[in-house]
Amino acid sequence: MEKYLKRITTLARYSTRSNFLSYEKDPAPHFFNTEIQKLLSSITTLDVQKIFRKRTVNDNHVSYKFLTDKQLEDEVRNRFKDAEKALQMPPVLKVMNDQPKTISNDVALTSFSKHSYVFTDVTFGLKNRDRSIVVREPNGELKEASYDIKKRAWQIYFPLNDRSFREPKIFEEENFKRLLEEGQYQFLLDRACLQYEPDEQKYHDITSRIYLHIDEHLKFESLRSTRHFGPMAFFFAWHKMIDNLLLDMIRNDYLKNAVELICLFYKLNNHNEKVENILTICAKSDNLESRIQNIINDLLKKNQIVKQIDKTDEELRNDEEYLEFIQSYIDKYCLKKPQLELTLNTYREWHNELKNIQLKYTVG
Amino acid sequence: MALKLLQNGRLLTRAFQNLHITPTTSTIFAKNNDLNLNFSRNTSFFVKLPAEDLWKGVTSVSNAGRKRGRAKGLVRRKDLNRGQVIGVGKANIQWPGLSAPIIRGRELIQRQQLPPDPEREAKLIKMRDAMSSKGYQKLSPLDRGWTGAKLGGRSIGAPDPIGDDNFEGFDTKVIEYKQVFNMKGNLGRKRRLSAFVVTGNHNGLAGFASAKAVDGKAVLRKAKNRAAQKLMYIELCDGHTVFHDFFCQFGLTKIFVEKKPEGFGLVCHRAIREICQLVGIKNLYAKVEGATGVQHIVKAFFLGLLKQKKFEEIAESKGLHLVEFKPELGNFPRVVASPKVCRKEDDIKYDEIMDYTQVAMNGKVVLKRKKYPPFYANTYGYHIHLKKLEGRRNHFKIKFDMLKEHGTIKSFLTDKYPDARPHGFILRDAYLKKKAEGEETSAE
Repeated sequence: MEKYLKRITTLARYSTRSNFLSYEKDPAPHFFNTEIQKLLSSITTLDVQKIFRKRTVNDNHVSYKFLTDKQLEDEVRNRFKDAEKALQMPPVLKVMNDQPKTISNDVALTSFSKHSYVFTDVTFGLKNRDRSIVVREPNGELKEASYDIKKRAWQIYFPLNDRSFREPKIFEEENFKRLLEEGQYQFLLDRACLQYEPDEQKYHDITSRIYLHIDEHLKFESLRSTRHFGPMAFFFAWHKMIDNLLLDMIRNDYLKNAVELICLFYKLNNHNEKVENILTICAKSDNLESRIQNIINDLLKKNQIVKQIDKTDEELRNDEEYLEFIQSYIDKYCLKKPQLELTLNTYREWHNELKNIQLKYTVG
Repeated sequence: MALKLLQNGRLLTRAFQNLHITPTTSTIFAKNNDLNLNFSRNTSFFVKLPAEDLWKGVTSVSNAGRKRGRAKGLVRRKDLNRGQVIGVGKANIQWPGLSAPIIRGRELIQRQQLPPDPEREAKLIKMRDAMSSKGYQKLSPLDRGWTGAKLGGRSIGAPDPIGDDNFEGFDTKVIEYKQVFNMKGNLGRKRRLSAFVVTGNHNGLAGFASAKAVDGKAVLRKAKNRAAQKLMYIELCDGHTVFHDFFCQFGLTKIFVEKKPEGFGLVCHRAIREICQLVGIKNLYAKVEGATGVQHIVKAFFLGLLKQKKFEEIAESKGLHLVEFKPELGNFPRVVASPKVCRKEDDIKYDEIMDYTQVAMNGKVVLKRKKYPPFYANTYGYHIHLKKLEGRRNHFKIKFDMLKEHGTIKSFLTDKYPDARPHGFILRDAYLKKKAEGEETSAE
C-alpha cells in the first residue's frame, strides 16, 4: 500500500511538471540497446493476419502468378520481411532543446530590410538534420534557424507527403478527445509520427497521452502487432506502470510477452534480477521458421490434422516456467497485486485443465 | 313567266336602292302578323344514323391512313349503356315493380321522386373512362427497362412453377421484343410477336430463349418458361466476377471481356449487363465489336462464360500453383489452386507463357488501340488555354485549404488589405456574420 501511495505521489509530481508523463533522462541509449530492441520487437508480436489486413488502396486489381513450391515459399518469406519492416518502431528520444546559436552580428546591416531572410542549404542528398539553415534578422544578426523555421524550410524544399505546415485538426483538443474515445489509437499515432519528429515536445505529449488512455481503458489489443506497441511498452516499463499491460497479456495468453515485459521492466529500472535463463527459454520457444512453414502449409492446405489441443507439451512446460517468473514479479514489484494474482490463478487453473486433457488425449 | 318575275325583282331592288332602303326578311315578315313561324328540326346527323355507324365514323381510319400512322391514339369504342339500369335515371324516381319492390312489409309502395343522387353521374362517367383506358400499370422509372418506350430490359418475373419447383430467386429480363411477319399461302402477311428473354437466379444459374406468339402476354410467358428449361450453371470467381479475361464470338459478334476487381461495376453493353446481373456477376468490363445484334451478343457472351477455365484446370495444365495477390491485402499470397504434382523451377521452359491472362486466352493478346491525343490537343486555342490555366492550376487546392483552415478565403496579407479578396467571399462573410448575429439576438 505504501508503495502504491508513493507511486501515486510520483505520478502527481509528473503531472504538475508537464501535462503528461515525460522522460527525465535520455531514453535513447536504452531504447537503442540491442537487447531491449529484441525484447520490444518480441513483445510487439508479428501477426501476419493483422499486418496484412484489408486496407483501402487506390488500385485493387487482383493479379495472379504461377509459382513453384520454392517461389511460393520465397514470396511468403518476403512478406514476412515486409511485415518486419512495417513493424519498425518509431524511436524514443529525449525532447530536444532548441536554442539557436548566433553566428555573427553585423551591425552594419541593421535595418537593411523589414523582414528576416532564411537561407537554406538545398544540396541534394543531405539529411535534413545536417542541412544548415540560417536566418538574417533585420537587426543584422545572423543566427541558426529555430526548429520551427527549420521544419518549414524542410517541408518547402523537401516535402514529406501528407505532412502539413499547420497543426493538423485532429490534434485539436476536441477532435483528439473524440478520437481517443473512439479508440482510434493507431490512426492518431501514425498521424503523429508523420507530423512530428520523435524529439519534439508535441510528439511526446501526444504519444504519452494516448498511451495513458490505452492503459486506462485496457485497449492494448488495438496496438498489438503495430509499430507503436514497442514504444508503448517501453513507456510503461520506464514509468513503472506495466501492471495493466501485464494483466492484459496474461488474460489473452501472451505469457511469453508478459515475461519479456517484466524483463524489460527490470532492465530499464536497474533491478538486479536473473533474467538470462527465462530469456533463453523465450528465445527458444519463438520459432519464426516454424511459423512460416505453418503458413505455407496453410496456404497449400496441407495442415490436414486438426489440432485438438492448442499447446504442445513443450509449450505447457514453458508456461510453467513463465508463471513462476511472473509470480516472483508480482511478489516483489507489483502495484496491483490482488488483481494480478487473481488473474494468474485463473490462468493456472485453465493451464492445469489443459494439461489434464493433454494427458488423457495422449494416453487414450 | 319566271323571267318576268326575275325582271320584276331586279326592278324592285333597283327601286329600293334609289330610295336608300334595304328591306330585310324580318321587316317584311313583321308586317305580316298572321304568319307564326316555329323553327324546328326533327332530324339531325345524330338521329339519322344508328350508333353503330356513328362509332364507326369516329373510330375508323382508312387503310391508307392506318399505314401512315393515323390509327395511333384513336378514340376507342365505348359501351355507353354500361352501368345504365332500366328504371334508374337522372331524376331519381322510384318505380314500384321496376326499380323498387311493390310491397315493403305491409305497405304498398307508391311511385315517388327521391332527392337527386349527385354521385350517379360521376360514377357513370368513371365507368366509361375506365373502359377507354388501355389498362397500363404505371411503372416506377427504375422498372421501365432500358428506354421506357420498349420492353427491352424490363423484368417479367420468375418463370411459372413446374411441380414443386417454384423457381425461387429467379428473375427474367426481356432482351428483345418485336413484331415479326411471315407469308402464309392463304392469309398473306401474318404478324406475330417475338420475345427474347434471359432468366437467372443471380447466383450462377441462367438461361435464355426466344418465343413467338400472336398475343403479347403469351409470347412473354412462353419465352420465359422456355428459358427456364434451358438453364446453364456458370461458376463465379470469388462470387463477383469472371475467372479471367476472355474473348468470345458468335457469328460476326465479338466480345472482349475483362475481369475486374470488386467495386468496378458492370461496364458493358446493356444486354450483357442484364445477363451479368441475372448470373450474379457484379464486376466486369466488356467490349462488343463487329455485329451488335442483341441475340448474337447474348449467345456469344454465354458461350464465353461457359468456356471459362476454372482455377483448378489452369493450375493443373500448368503444373504450378496459381497464386493470387491482392494489393488491398498487402500482396500477401493466397493459393487459389494447386496441381497434383508441382513442377520445379528447372522444368519451366524459357519461352513458356507465365502470364495468367495470356494463359487463359491461349497465348493470344488483345490488340489495344493506341490512344491518340484529343483532336484539340494541337490547336492554337488549346495552347492558350493551357497557358492561362498554368497560373491558376493550384487555386482550387489552395482555396480548399484556406476554407479548411480559416473558414473563408484568407491569407497572411488579408488583415492588412481586407478588401483585396474575391468579392463573392466578402459578401459571403458579411452574410454569415449577419446571420450569426441574428441567431444570437433570437437566442437572447
